[in-house]
Amino acid sequence: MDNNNNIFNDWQNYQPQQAPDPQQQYQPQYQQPQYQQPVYQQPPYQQQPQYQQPVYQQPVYQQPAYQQPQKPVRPIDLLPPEERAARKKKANTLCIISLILHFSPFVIIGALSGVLESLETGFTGTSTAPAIVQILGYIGGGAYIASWVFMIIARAKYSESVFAKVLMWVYLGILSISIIGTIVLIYMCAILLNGCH
Amino acid sequence: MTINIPEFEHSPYSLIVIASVLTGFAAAVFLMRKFKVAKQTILYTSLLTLICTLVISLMSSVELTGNGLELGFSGLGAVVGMALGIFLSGLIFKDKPEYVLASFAAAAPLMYGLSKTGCLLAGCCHGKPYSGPFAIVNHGIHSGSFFPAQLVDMTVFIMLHIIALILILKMENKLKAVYILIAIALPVRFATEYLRYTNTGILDKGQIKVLVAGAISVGIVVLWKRLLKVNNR
Repeated sequence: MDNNNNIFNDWQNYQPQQAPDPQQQYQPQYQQPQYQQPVYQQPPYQQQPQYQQPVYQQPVYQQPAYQQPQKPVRPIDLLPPEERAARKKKANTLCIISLILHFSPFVIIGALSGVLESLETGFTGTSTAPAIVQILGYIGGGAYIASWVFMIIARAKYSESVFAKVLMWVYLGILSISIIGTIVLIYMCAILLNGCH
Repeated sequence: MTINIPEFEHSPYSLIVIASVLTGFAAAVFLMRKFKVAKQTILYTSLLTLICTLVISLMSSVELTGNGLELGFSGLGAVVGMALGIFLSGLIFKDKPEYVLASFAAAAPLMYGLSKTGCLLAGCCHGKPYSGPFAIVNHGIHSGSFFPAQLVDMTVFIMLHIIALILILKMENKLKAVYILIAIALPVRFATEYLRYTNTGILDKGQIKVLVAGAISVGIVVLWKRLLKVNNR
């Protein structure tokens, strides 16, 4: 019973808390914004520039960062000097043979013109002269081709040979001049022949 | 319908022949580059083959006649010269020789076909007298109305170049492709000889020249194969 009395007494003493007044709680507090008077400052460009005396420093020349490119080491450079000399000798021999063969057709052309001359004087009516001309033509052409072959062998097998390199450019030069010269000659002859009409 | 060829003040023959040879060489270089042949091989092979082609082409046309010394470019001589040039450079370099041979074999019909433009304009190598459709009417030294033998040569050999390209690019065995090409080109060249004004019979001087040039070229290829020990790959 005592317990029941206590509960009863507590219930009697119970007082509900008052609900908060919504108007009172959610009342926003507006604050007057504080506008500050802007302070106009002199813009920087209107300010008098302050020139400073430039300080010229003596340039310091340094060693350039890049280095002189070094020649790549070729397998030929690694050979002993005796072997290199032997290679050079072989290349030079090939080049000399090539040089002789290259200019021998000119001698053959001289012989050819001799045959032509003899044709006019004594060979007329025979079939020997045309055959000789053809044979000399084949020998001359063969020698010219052989000269190129020897030069190319020298260039391919002894790539370090300067003689072979020079020879190649000389031959190419002669060939180009010959082709251009022949074309010019044909055109000049045509002009001259037209002039004869 | 006839094709009228005017007379030129300066014959473009030599320039067209040289330009055709250079175009053919450019095609051969392109093919060799495609087959990844070394640059050194390409350079020196082209140089040596060019020299051989020009020299033997000139050499085989040297003739002493009643009018004096006659010179020109012989197409058959050029073929032999080219075979010799390839053979010699193959012996020197031994670098993918079958690819080098195949490249030049494919380019040769192009050279020949294009150089016929020079013959057409100069009036040389003309056909037999003819006045039907597509007859070529020349003026000057070779005046007359002729069968278009040069046009036939040009068309046939440019077509042969296309066939050669297909054969050489598609076939694995390059040497076999070259042999097939020779087997087609030789009879074709033999047959076109009949159309020329120089032809006098079934087997005349011109046709014998074709057979000799063909035999020399085949001989060079066979010798080249044995010396370089090129296997049918």
